[in-house]
Amino acid sequence: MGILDVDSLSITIPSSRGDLRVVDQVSLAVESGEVVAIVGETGSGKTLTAMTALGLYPTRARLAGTVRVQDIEVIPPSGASDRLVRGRIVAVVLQNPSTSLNPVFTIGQQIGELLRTHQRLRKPGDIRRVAVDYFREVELPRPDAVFDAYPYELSGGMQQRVLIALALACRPKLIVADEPTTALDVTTQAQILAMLKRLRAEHGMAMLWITHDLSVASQVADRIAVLYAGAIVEMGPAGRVLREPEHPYTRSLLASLPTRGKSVRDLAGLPGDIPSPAAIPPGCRFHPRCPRRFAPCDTIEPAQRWLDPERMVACHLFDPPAEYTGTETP
Amino acid sequence: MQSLPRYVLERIGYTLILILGITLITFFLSHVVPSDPAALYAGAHPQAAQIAAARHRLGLDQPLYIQYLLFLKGLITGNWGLSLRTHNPVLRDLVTFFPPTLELVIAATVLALVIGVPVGVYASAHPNGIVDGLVRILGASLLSVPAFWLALLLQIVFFGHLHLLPLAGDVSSQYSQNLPSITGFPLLDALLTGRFSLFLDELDHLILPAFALAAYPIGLVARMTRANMLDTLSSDFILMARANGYPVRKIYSRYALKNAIGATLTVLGLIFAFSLTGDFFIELIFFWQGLGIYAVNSIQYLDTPAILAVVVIVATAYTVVNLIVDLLRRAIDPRITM
Amino acid sequence: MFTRAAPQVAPGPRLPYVGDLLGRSRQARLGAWVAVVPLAFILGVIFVAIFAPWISPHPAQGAGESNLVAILQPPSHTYPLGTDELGRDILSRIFYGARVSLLTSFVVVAIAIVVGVMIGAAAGYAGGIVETILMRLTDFFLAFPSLLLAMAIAVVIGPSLKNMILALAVSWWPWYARLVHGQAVVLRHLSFVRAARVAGVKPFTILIRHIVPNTITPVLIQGTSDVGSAIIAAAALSFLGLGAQPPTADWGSMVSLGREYILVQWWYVTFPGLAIFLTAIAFNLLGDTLRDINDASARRA
Repeated sequence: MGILDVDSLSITIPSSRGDLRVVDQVSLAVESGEVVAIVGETGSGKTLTAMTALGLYPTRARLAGTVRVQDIEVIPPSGASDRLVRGRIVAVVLQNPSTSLNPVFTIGQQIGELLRTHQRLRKPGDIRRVAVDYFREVELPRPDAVFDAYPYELSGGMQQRVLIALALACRPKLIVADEPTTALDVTTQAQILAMLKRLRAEHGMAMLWITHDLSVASQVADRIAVLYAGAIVEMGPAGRVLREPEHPYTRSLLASLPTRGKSVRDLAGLPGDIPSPAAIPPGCRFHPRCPRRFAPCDTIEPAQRWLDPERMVACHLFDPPAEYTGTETP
Repeated sequence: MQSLPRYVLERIGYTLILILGITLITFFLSHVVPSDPAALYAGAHPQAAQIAAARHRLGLDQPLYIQYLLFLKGLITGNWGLSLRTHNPVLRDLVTFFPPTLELVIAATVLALVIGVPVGVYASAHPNGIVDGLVRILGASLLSVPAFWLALLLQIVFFGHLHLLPLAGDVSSQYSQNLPSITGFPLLDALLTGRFSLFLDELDHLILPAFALAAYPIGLVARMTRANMLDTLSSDFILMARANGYPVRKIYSRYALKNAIGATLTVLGLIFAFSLTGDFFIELIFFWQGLGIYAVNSIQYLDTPAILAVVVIVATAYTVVNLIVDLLRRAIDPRITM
Repeated sequence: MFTRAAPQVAPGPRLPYVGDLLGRSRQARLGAWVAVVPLAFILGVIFVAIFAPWISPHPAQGAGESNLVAILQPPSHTYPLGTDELGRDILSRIFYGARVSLLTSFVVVAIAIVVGVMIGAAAGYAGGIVETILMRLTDFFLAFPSLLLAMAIAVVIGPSLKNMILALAVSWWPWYARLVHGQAVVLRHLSFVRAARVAGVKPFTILIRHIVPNTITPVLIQGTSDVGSAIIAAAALSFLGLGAQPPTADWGSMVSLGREYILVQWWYVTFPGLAIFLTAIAFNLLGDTLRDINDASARRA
């Protein structure tokens, strides 16, 4: 059964510069036990998309489309959808560990509240025991001491592990991980990634992984969705997307990854920057930076085309409008 | 980070220096003022002989610095001098007048916390709603209302029209002959001697003055709590707590409040210490025999020993209150180093 | 061939998920009311103060002349807010009282600002022993309950309007000194100040032309709110008889006199006090609005 089902979600935020379409008709699904990665640059709307799974979005935003978690309608909100979903089904690991923990409460107090709410533990002894178990699972040294510690007493890597333990303590079916390794150094990154893979294997929960780093996605994801300026441009099984990227944006993302054998000169960065939501280009939103654009790209927005049941691309190269079939593609 | 005992000791030391400085300045300032303490002590229409006797009695015929040293010595030994106005040992006057003020100020502070904090939290939970707008307007009003006028209005409404509460004084006349006196705190003494009707009567008299005094702090606490809560509520860790299913009411009443309350406590501490003499108008209007009235009467009479004593008390109170607030804040937020 | 797209915009300020502070439509309209009404009220009070002799129903009484035929009358057609113990029309007295209140509070705040800013700027800029001395002095004045200090001064130099203004200003300046001092310290390390100093510009000139203008905005905002507080403080002192002397109309002394008649002739205490209250709150709200505007423009910058 699907855990998360996002159907044509659009998020518009009113601002002094006009209405900003920060998320544009995004559809994706996460099945039980699978890891889906949303890949995109900063500002592509990936965090916003993921947070709507929890019913969390800016108060001023206008939403269209639907988001369902298991069978519960989260967008548009229904009844006690928030209370049923948050923590119980979906838990969150946020990006910046040092600001994601309340500085005036001990780690034990913070995880204790979650255990009380989601696992109905009451006795302090039980809470401590279960909490320490989770700390051990996330490979924290001296888990007993961590329970009594305050967040500022822990290092960044330890704090991140604590965040993961907090999410696990909810016993969720889906964990939304927002760039969980970005704030860490490379060594710790690798450790955390390995640990998460192990945890996922052991607990069997699904994950929605948000990242700007394709290499990270390549290590954890079953499926990848590539987000550009608020719209999904390519989606498919991780292996296939990484080995045979179809959309020019995905291709350039891959090309910019450092691998052995490539020199710095070879790293093809893309010219230009991701457009702001106030100034999305007409037609295909990627066309100003696309090395393969041709006639229809600056006027007609490409539809999402399913190349096979698992593979989706939104690009005129794969679905040229009628009058352009047969035209020379550059 | 230092250890706690050492920190407290340092603060005590700092207080002593502060008292030294303030009394020195006040002492010498008071001698700049054109008045003759001996004449004041001798009362109305004194004759030369009486003034001379008074001068000797008060030790005013000694050089100035000796007087100051004697004063300091007196502070430590418990001889705080004689009031020029009441002719009592100043310390005895203080023991009479300080506790009622302390009771009043404590009551007002409790009101400020008990009313101001929940209101501020509620407003932050429903920002930009009708309640929030009302809270902001009411808060601004409470901060701008003249205390003496509010006190008078309360008298008009609750005594004059509704006949609910007494006009003034701290106790009804039927009890005033036979008041217990153990600690000097009226409410406490009534409780300790088991006289409940007396206790209730004194409580009745405390209500209007306490509310009049509490108006400004309530407005301030409500406003600050609201602002600090809104600030805290936009943090990452609150977002995470909400996302992971923390019970919503607990987020407001505990989880976010603990972060937001610190600055409010500091300000409340300052208001507390200020009100020990700053409640003068309330005391005047409600005929409350407290430190505020004593201080102002002393100033108007140029009763130097009394003024000095009040200054010492107030400076000490400031430091003690600040110390308590600091310790509280450290207990709340372990990151605060000293 | 490849056009450079719009420069990347950071994803915006951190979107607060709980309650946005700056809103639209209903929010903005309400906000406009809160800003405009106090300003209009203040302009009204100023107008009344200036033109009191012409718009008061009984200008002579406002200025102090007795009217013993109508002692302590309740509000009526002839005397809209009632009369006092000398039969004088309270509404007219309130109009005339506005002159005293506005004059006093403006002057007090003005003096306090000038003195406080100079001391604070000098302390912050000079540093070293000068700074320490000046700031210790400021702290001492701050620790003293300001009302008592003002009272003490007023008692010693005698009760009159002029002396009351002086006493209040003396107890008020430390706040501005504190405010300015912090900013001055920051400024003195900035490059353009250092450049001026190296170039040999005299310290006083640096203070006037560089330090003060850059610290003046929060001072003015605070000052606006403080006019409201000064009105209350002045009323409090005149309540004790330390300010304007009779027969000059003054809101504070009116409340004090009215206290005797509080239980029956309630209007005597209520209306002058209401004048104090409304004027003070108008200035406070105005100060709040200025602060909001200032914060918003700083955020946008």
